[in-house]
Amino acid sequence: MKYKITTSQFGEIEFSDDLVYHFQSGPAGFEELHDFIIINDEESAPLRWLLSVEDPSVGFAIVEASLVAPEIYSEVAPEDRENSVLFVIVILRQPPEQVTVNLKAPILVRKDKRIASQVILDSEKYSTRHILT
Amino acid sequence: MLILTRKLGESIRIGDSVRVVVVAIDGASVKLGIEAPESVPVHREEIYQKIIAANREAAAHLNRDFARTLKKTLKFKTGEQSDG
Repeated sequence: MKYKITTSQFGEIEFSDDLVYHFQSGPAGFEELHDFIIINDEESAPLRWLLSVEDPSVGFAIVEASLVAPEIYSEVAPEDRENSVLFVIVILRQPPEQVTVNLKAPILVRKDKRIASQVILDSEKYSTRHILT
Repeated sequence: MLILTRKLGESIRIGDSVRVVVVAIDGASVKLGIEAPESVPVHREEIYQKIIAANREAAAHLNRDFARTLKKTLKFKTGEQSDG
């Protein structure tokens, strides 16, 4: 099955359903959204985009956790870590000195099963607004 | 809101899969034990609210043009780095 969505940042995007990641419950505050795609964008790399299939006005800038805080991998249960990639959500607040990432609640993506979830780390070490610069 | 009084060691059950036990009481602090299936996330309310706020702010600041300019300014642990 093919999808076509129109977004403010990328215009029209077409993709097949095997690229969709399913959230049992969407990211906190967006629980009603279940299906997302991840766009690898050469121009903004390593930032990528997590876009809602159901509501194309909703999207998040994300970056692989290994690039900003590889230590958070050890906070995730080993059985969840297998075949998974952790991303953190980026708040693109301007200027660049105010750009933050949410280390407290990364997005766990299982590529093999095409499922994803926002997990909340128990450790109190991690901030929801960690400054990136 | 339903309000119930429980003593130390007593519990309440929510539906057939969630149990909340009073594990310890120390002055103004109450330690709760929660048994819930994996499909029922359990969080401290104030942390959950912070995450909702951060998610909403992230979604409101979706800006590809700004993201492009960050390639050289942000510090990532590996990958391409700007050496100024």
